[in-house]
Amino acid sequence: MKKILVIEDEPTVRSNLLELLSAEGFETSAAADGLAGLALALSIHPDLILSDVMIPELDGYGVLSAVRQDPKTASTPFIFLTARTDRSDLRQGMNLGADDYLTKPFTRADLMSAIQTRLKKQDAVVERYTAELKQAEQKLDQLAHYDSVTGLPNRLLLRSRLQQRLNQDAGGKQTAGLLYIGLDRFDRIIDSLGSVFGDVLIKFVADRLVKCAGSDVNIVARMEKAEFAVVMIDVETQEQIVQMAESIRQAISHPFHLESKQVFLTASIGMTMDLTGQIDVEELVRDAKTAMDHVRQTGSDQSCFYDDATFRSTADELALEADLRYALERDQLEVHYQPQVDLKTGRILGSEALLRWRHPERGLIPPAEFIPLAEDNGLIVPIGEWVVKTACEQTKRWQQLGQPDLRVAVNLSPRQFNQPDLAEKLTGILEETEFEPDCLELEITEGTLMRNVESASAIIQKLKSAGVQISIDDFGTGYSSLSYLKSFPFDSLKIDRSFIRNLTEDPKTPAITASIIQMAHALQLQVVAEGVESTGELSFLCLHHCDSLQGYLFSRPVIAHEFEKLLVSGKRLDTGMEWSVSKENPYV
Amino acid sequence: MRQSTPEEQEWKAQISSKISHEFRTPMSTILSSAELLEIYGDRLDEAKRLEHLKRIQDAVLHMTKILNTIFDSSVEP
Repeated sequence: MKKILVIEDEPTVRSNLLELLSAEGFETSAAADGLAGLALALSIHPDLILSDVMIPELDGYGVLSAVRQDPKTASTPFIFLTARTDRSDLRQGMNLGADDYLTKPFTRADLMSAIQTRLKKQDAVVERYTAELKQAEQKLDQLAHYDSVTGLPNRLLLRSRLQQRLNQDAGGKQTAGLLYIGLDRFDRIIDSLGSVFGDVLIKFVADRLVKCAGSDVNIVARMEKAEFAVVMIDVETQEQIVQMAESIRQAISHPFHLESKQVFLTASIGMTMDLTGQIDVEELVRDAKTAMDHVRQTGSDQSCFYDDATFRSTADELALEADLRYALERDQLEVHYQPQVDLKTGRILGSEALLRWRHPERGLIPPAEFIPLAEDNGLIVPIGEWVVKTACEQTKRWQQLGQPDLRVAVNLSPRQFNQPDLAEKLTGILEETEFEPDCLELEITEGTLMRNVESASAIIQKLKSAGVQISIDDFGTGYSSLSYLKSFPFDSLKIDRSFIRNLTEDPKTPAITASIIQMAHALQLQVVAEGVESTGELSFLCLHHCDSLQGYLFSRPVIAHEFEKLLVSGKRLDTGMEWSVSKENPYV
Repeated sequence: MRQSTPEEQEWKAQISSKISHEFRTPMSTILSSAELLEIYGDRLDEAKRLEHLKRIQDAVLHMTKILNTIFDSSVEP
């Protein structure tokens, strides 16, 4: 049933309108003044608004222009009802984007025809939008699944291909081996050759890998700039994988001819296999890459098998893990804040809270080193709670300094996300710190969600009902298709830094990125770009109406004290555009 | 007939716009109440029908009052 909002101060006119509209089968809401009408419009998102022009508190023009500012009501059909007949009044309303004008007194027929015309037109727009969305989605899926240089599947497609192959062979015992191949010193080779040769060389390498992989069953994918994976289906012995690694290293060791130059490459290869029949692609990739890194550390140009015992519990990691157990109680953990900037105003609208560990002997330890440990041994749960609490307390203080809507985003790891009492714990923290739930944003990666889509959906529903905002983090790096986006009630989407970094390097990335923004907006998500470092990237994002960004271009993650300085100084990002709102600094 | 001054014209325009506005609201009520009675009258209960008839009468009385106010007071600038 279509919902119509009536804003009219004359009680009899309003009451007759409501009676008429419900008799015609519409759902109705009504307000007697402009402010109440606006509040209703923004909360119930009606399908159409009928508003008198001369109404108390805020006149019809004011309601219209405010309604047009909010993305969710920006295109809601708006019809003025007026007792004024001046042409200039009429023009004023039309200029603000009114769809029609009815002069009082109007007949039922006039009213119904105006309403039907607008609703029909709106339906057509929605239909076109849905079609565009679908197209963008298809384009994006296509662009997002193949590497543009080699035509090989990328990381994304590798997973679905493998799954497909395994499904075809559902009867037998499913086994797979994965070789992770890294070209040694590739960057340095390209530096000396010139970057134009980089893509050509990668293409040649890809051709040789495809030849080595041989049968159609095996999959070759490009994983990173100079890293490939070969997946072998139905392997029976380690020996088969080792042989494959040898033939790949052989193939790559033959010189490559680039115009008049001869180029020699070597590869480090990490290998892993799964004979259990329960193949987890991410695990295979991770283990094989760990093995490749190990080869690199011990001298490159070799191949090596992943071995749980060797790689998981190195002495170093054990020591680190022991120290981590005391990090929280010994006050060695810190939260740093990276500002997020509104691209419409250039102003700081919030921050992402990032965990740092200041080890007494080893200095600042990168999160990539200790967070996986904490995730494995469960310490991430108390640490994660501490981060949320610290970030809320700190942000609350800043809100009280003069920016009451300042937001903070906190990352949730898979283990945290899957705690049964997560929503209750968060509610407890929010109450204790008196923090507005909708100023807290939880960032969840695609990987976390995809582990178990059904339970993830239930957890997110629960978090949403606690009032917090949910954002999907590192978007574009996971294995998921876009279709699942629609099934989760996210509020915003963070475009992964790899897209931003490649905006100026890879010819297809701008198209993908633009599609992501367009699609996110069609799903009414706010879009945050991560890792923005250059003004070129900034202007691309402005041009495509990205909502906000974070990155070194504005500021690296900083300690609380430094962040406060940024707030108080009123530092703005020069977006090269006129700011549409007040430039006042609330902290002064 | 003498030409009216620009001030007089402005004043007349303002008065007629005001009168137009004052009349259009009750006329709106009359028209919509009458239409509701005409089209949905058989679906309305007795109290509701009386309410619309009352609205029409009130609106007419309101307009009469406005007319009286206009003609009883001086309309010269």
